[in-house]
Amino acid sequence: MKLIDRRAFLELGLASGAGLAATTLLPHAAAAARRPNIPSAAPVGKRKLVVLDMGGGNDGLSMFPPKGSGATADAYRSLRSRTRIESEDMIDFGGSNSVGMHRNLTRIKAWKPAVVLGVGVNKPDLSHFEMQRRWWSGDQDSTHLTSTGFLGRLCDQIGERSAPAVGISLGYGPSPSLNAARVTTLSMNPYSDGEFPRFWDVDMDSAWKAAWKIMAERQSNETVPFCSARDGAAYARHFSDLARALPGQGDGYPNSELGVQLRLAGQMLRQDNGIRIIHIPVFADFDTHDDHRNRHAEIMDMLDRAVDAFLKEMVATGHADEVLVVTTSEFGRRVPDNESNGLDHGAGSFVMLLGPVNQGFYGDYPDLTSLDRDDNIVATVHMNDYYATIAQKWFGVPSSEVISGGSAMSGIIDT
Amino acid sequence: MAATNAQLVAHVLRRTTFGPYPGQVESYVSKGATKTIDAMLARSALSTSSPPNLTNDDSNDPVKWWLSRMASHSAGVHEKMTWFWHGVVPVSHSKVYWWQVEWPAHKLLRQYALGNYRTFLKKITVTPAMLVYLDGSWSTVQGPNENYARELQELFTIGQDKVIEANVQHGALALAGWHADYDTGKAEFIDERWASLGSGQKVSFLGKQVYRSDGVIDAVCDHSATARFIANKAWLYFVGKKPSTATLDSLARTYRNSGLNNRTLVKAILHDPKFLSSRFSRPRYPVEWVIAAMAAMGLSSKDAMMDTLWGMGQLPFYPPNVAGWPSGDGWVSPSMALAKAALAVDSPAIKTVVDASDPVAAALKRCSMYEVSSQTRKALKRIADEPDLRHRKADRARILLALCLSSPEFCLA
Repeated sequence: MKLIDRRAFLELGLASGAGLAATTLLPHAAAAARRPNIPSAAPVGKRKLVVLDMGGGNDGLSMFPPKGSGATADAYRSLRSRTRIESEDMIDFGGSNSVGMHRNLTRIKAWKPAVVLGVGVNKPDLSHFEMQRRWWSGDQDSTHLTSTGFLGRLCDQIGERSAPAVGISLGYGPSPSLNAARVTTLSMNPYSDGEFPRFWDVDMDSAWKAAWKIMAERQSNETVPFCSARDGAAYARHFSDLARALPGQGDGYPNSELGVQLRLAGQMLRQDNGIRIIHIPVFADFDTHDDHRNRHAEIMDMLDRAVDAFLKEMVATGHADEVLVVTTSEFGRRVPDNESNGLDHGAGSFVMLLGPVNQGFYGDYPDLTSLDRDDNIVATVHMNDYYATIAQKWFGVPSSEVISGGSAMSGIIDT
Repeated sequence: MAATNAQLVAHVLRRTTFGPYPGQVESYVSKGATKTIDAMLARSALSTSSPPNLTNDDSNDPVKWWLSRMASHSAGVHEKMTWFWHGVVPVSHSKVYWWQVEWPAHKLLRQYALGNYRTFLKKITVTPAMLVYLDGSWSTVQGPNENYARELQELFTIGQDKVIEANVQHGALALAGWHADYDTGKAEFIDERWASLGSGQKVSFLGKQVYRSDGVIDAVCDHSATARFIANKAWLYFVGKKPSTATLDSLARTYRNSGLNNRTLVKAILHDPKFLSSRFSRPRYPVEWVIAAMAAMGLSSKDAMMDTLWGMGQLPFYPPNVAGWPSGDGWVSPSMALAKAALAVDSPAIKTVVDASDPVAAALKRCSMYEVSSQTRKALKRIADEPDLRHRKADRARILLALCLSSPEFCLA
């Protein structure tokens, strides 16, 4: 599977819609040598979440490769003779002699992330779509079919019904992960300004809006598609008021699509407008069936710059204690590399949490000398436990309300 | 109340073309729905004899070329099925980035839009664009790449619930040996032991012994799940809701007995009584909405179309992933409403609406809306009754058209 690279499209100069803001490429200061000042977490009611959803299958082993002389490091080097991260391309994460960090994550390292190793499911499937469905719905072993998503259920727990939106996906269509039962969640094109299209003549515009309001009234005797269409029209108007009142764009973001998405996330999170969860589909090609090393390294650099800019803005504007950034991916990559210098679909991957967290590795590093029958890692931490940690430790929501059978991990977040 | 001929014909044209364009319903209304279906089925494939410029991979000339074909007043079911197959067996320019090879792949969609699915799959499987898109290029028996073997089964034929890993691995071996040559733009097969199965050397796949790529395609097409899988997708596309088990059984049987003939399948769907009664059962997908809306506005700018389609996330040649575009009510979400309204507010004043004694009726006719809810009428009347606009007929016409294009009736198919 290939996730579309919208940045390439934008470079063609096509997405010239009114919503496209000018971006500037600022020279980036060398990565901060010291940890920027993130205070301890804000009260639970003020906390917000940004989810970087790395669809396509992000390789955890390349982010945090084994090093040194252990059996797992030996296995890594031999199974990945074409794609391994060499020791000169690693930096020291701290706290471990046997695990390094990809050098293109130098800026992120300075933010002292918590890293959960080997997150996956009991019975992995190698299909993107099946595993994305499980991650989005929070249905680890495909046994709890539900119409809501994990993030949507979290929004139902923490959000206000009256809010124009509690959860927003900054992509090009709704995300099933945000399907909620009680509160409003929606998606927004990251290049749009979210404002309701208008007629510039005042009389025309007021007639347009008055008529729109009538058209958007849900009718009890109409079919589901009609109700969905009228609701879509109603929430579009409602959300527009929120979008118009957003504070200005932050500075220093890179010119990547993720930079644009995170800059908009920053605008949305700097005020109390009811938005609590922002889902960001990361439009990079993580599905590295060929030329893994170069392609993945480029993505890591893109990620590093964009996340760094976002966290800097949160610190500068005094919101760093309110925002937790976490990553997800439906799976990692196959442990042995293929002959195209690439990596086929894998099982568990590694995830990062950034913000008011305690730096370190959590969970056990997968044993690369003992792979499953598809030559993939055996998960050492369950997806449900990772989700339970976010729900319970960050939002104070009992995990049983939003996820079946997970238990929160201790140490990562001080509650 | 029974539906009128105009309502049924408008429905048929929404589902079998990218229209209706203004005036089209009126020209078919005396024929009635069934004859309109047959007329759209009988329309011939649009010509590919003047292809887009393929020399610049940074250009989106092929996208514009395709949008022009969809917007053609001669487009029928063939054009509609060309778009359908793009969503079922996609290739994306964002990965392949090589129009020279994407064009032949696109022509295969057209050649087999109403043709034989098995033959189509045999050809598309080893076409350079697909070899690049799903990593079949340079997959060898010594180093097989599983991507195509997996997606072929999961998304193009038997469906995810039937996929087992052994068939992915063995399928990859049988498919191995091909690559897209970067100098010639042709697919080449390496008949050597390190690259491909030896002559007559078979692998076990889906319960059969298969040989090379044609053997893999024969095995997936012989599997009973494939006819069912494609029939279900085509039914959803044309009818807009899930088929009953009995309907799907019968449709899959018809399709299978035809040897996977796409025209037979589509004809069976369009002549099912449920087709005519399923009006407004699914969203008008972005390409359908944009092309019909631009026709109602009397505009043809392909740049405007592309901008709107990009913002809505459905640009031809740029599917989001190998599963194509999702179906469902996500296409009438708040963000879609914003994107549509952004185009609709640019509507010019249409003369027939400006000059009409009943501008609401004229705007509805312009948009081929013959089945309108009382709530939508109420909203339109709000504009028609606005005292400030009483003497500004052109401005009033613009808002009326913008509201029609944003209404549930126009945003659903």
